[in-house]
Amino acid sequence: MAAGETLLELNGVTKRYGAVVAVDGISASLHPGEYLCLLGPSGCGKTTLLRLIAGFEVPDGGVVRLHGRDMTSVPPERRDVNVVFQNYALFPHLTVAENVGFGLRMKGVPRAEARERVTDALRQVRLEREANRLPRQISGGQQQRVALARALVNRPALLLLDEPLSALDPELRQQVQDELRRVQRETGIAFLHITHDQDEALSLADRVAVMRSGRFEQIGTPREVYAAPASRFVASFVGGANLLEGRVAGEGWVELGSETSVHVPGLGAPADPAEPITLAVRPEAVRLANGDSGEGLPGRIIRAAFRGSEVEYSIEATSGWNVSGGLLRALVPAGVGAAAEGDTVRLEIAPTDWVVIRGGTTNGAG
Amino acid sequence: MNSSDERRVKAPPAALSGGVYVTPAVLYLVLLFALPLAIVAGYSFADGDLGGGLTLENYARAFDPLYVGVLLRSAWLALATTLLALLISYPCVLALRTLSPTRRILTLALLVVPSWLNLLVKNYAWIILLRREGVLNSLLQGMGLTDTPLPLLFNEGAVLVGLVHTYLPFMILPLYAAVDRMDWSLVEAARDLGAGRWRTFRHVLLPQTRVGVLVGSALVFIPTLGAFVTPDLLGGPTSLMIANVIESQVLQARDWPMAAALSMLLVALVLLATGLLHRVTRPYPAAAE
Repeated sequence: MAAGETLLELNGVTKRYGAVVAVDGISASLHPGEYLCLLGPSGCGKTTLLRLIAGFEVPDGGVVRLHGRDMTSVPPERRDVNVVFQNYALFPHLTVAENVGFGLRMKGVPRAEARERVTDALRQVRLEREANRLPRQISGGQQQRVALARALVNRPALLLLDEPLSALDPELRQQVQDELRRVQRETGIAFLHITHDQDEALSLADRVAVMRSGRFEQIGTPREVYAAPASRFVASFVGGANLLEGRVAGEGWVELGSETSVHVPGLGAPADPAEPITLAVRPEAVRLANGDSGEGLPGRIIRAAFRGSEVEYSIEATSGWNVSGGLLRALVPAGVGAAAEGDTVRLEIAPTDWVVIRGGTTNGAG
Repeated sequence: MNSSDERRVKAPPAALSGGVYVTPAVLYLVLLFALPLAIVAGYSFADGDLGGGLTLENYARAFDPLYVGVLLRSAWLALATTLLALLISYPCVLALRTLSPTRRILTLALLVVPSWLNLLVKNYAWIILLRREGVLNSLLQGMGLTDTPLPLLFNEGAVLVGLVHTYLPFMILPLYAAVDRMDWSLVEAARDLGAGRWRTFRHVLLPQTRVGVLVGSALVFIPTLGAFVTPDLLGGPTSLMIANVIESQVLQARDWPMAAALSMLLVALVLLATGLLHRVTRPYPAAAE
């Protein structure tokens, strides 16, 4: 596996349903052994993209290539890809072991070898003792692991996971996340994991592709996507950043309103004078200071919600600036300068915590 | 509010309420089904002149090769009808699934509504189509495919066609229900795991719709076994079914005990089929622990 080798290549892949464009000319590639999370809200086309790669749908335009080979006319059963379905899709009339062995049986793997591989796969997901149970006789978490084992036992080059954790309890979800990452490292199989949960995507993936309305808004490492969002949508969807509209007022300065400007180092010279620009700031980068006067953006606390280790404030702008959505979210560690609902505050944001998103309003947040 | 307490106050004791609700059904079945059946069973052991003596003579006669042959032919025709209906219905039901919901309901209605047509009318229609100077023969001759009219009517083939036509909806409906209820991601899972279309059908679709297949088969097989009108109208002397023989015993030979014995054999055959069905319709075989 040479570095830079491409396992999966999407080239202008498009899928329409009537007038709706579910996948809109996506081009991307995946390396062997990589863990890619496809992150996006429901209806953004991520499941359609998975179905195109698995072969359940045929693209209206563009090409899906696996190992460099055009997959357009290759049916699902002949693709070196396996799917972990959102509802697991375990065969109800087959035992756990028979479910896991189904793919090997279909491919004509000799019985003895198949039995051995099924045992190995079940051991890998710690289900040896459930081998002879039926799917309905085991728990949801166990069913999920059966689905994983059933796909992995075929040793595909690429595993597609469609919201694999969405049907699990929150505490179980963390456990299965660890399990997924462990199994992925052990097997070296490339994972393409679809999710709408940004925490899941950021903590699991080598790279995250943020998808919206059938397109990739950004693709990069979790840190890149979080720290340097390429669009307003990415900024607000990943990490729930606050978005403030402004204009470049000179080198290093952004004007947010008639009398309010903030210093943003590294902004560079404006492309044109008064270029519209969006500033994003993470809720945890906002600090609150008391008082009607002084430095910082003036605001009023509309709601303070205690979250245990931190307090989430919803703050309304009182004068001189605007935030997209009307309310700015701030996460402050509990016990740090308690403020109450109705208090007027000053928002202190370190100049280095501003994230610049060029292009102003053209990428309106969803 | 405790709803279970409330229910306990309002509802009469389960045993009593159950008894009340099923009374009409029990009365109906006892008077119009169990009693007549008991009378027929009694007749089947009666002397030829209904003089009062009991005998197994009628059953001995019923096992004459002539009657056994008719019983076997009935079973064979019922089985063939069931299999043909299944072969026609399955692709049809799978095709239905690909239609939009509105078209699906419409097509289903088009398949089922004609079955409300009177059985006689349907069979006469087949006579018009299949007889020597019938539509089909005229067509074949007109196209020059045959010089002499083909013997399409008054044989087993005609009976089979008539029976399949009559009972097809009884196969389509349970099969449609089973396919419609099925989790379709299982089919995708099978494809994903390397099964082609045929093996997906054999290993996933068929086991998953097994109950629909069996219920449909029972709904076709059991009434076909006792079919009377269709073999009477479309069949010839060599394609009689057991119901036709029973009828002639009653109306022509006036041998009621013999007719009763043959009827009891038919009932036994139906019970056997029902018993077999009951054995195989348990949803899934229990898993070995």
